[in-house]
Amino acid sequence: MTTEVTQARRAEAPVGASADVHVRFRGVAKRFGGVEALKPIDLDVRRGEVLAIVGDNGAGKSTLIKVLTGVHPADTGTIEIDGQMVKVDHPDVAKAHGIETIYQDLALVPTFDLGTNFFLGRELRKRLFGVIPVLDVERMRREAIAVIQDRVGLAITNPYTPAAVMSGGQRQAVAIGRALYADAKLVIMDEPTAALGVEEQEKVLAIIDRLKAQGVTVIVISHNLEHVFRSCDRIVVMHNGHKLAERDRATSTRAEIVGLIMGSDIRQEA
Amino acid sequence: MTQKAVPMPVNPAAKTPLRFGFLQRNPGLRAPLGLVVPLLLLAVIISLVNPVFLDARNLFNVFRQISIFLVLGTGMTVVMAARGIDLSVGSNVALSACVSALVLKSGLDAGTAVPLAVLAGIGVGALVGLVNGTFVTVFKVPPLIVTLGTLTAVRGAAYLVMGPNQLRNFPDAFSFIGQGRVFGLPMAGIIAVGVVLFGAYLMNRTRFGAYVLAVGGNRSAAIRAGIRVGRFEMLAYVFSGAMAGLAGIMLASRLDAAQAVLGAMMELHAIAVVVLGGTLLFGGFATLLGTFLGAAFLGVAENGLLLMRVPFYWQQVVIGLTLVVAVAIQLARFRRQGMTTE
Repeated sequence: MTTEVTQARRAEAPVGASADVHVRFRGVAKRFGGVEALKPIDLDVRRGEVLAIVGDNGAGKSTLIKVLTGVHPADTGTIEIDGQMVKVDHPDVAKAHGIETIYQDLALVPTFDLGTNFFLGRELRKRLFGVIPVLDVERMRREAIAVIQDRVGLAITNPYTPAAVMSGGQRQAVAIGRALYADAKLVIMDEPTAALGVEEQEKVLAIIDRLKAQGVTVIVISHNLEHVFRSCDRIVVMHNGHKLAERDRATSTRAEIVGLIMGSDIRQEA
Repeated sequence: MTQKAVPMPVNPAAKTPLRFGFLQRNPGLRAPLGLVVPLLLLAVIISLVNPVFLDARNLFNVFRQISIFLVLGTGMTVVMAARGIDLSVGSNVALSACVSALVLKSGLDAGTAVPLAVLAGIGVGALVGLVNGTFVTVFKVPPLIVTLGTLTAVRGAAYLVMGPNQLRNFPDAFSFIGQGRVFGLPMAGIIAVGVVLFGAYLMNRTRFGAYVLAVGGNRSAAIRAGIRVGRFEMLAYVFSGAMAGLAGIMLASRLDAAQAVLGAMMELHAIAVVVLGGTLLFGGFATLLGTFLGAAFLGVAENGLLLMRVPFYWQQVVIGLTLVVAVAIQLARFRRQGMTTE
């Protein structure tokens, strides 16, 4: 497998909506002290696709994501979002461009309930007696319940339960609902199915399908190749901080991806 | 023949509107209620041993006494909500009291000196908080170490500005803060209750409170939500410092005297009051009603020991042990709920 083949496949991709580039990375790199966590990388994320990023631990998957979300701004290189050069140096910048992240730990505050977790960082407020600004706790709760029930499809039995004592599925639902509510154009999911029971894994895969059907671009970091091949359109393999390969799901196999993750194609790539 | 109960037809739609009790909807009010029974029990025991406890004048004194713990406790609640701790408040009380006393005695007429002294006291307190906050948020020194350092340094500063002397006889307008009455209620108590209510508003109904709690509950989640965690952590320490300054003013006013030894061990009181009330030592959850009940409990206990003629040093033993036991109870509860301290 050579790079030219990948390039050829890319050229063959149908022109139109799927060829529309949502996010374009050019020479993006990041180092932490002496460690080159992300070597200069070029990558196009197409609008409306479900893109899987796979690779071994420490391959640079999370760093690539954090560079895009502004958690760890890139040292060098450029990021274009919707054809526009964007300096993503803070999570707010990514959010302002419709990029929402569902982290592996779901980024919930264990002592907060549904509503306050849902609106963390963008709380709804009202004015008491027209002057005193107060959080609109009731409205946050109501809207969170509505979004989770209608769009994520999970019924809320007790909206006052703190996240620490919610079930794994409920926590996922809150995190995903939060992204949907923010009107995300691109949702990043970090190991969304890890640490979940089989039934809950199915729910998450269904949600990914649902996001795609709504035209949302999805980037999924996953170790689970079964899930990757079920829900993703394209697969990017990371190895040692650089992009080793890009494959279309339709024309690749699990065996090939496993081989790439193990780094068996390094020599040919070089 | 007895009538059999006919099962009601289940209407699924009727099950959807969820109804929850007032306390279920307000966990901040529910958590500290476990303290009510012990508090009443304590009051009954004390009044049986010494009926003077129920004397209006004694209760008035208890209220005035706990008013300082309430003010310090409110500041400490905010800091603890952010998973911090402020050991410097006792020393900060002394420094703020001394600085306001110096302003009062600076020769200015009372009309200018009193408001200036109040501002100076609160300002110095807030400044100490700013120093604490800077070391915690900018230099990332653990709060326990930072405030242990300022506990000593600020006490030293109090001696530097005041020397071994005592300043006394402040203007009446200043004395009113700690000794005055409004409609028969102690002014200090009114200030304290106002501070607690303000704290409750801050923590439950403002973005500031939500962010401080988020920093304490899950710092990385707060960062990823775009919250400038350092700013809110810093403000928590500044608030605690300002409250220590206010407590210093109230104490100097009540004693009508200021010296550098004031406020010793008060940090322990403040922490005990907050933990006793149910605010989590590991951040993320704060209850000002708890802080209020915790202060009442400790105030009544101390008053009881006094009325029962227990030697003073026993008070220290009791406060110290109360703190440790309160933390042990909180941890046990925490684990029972399946929460971890991480």
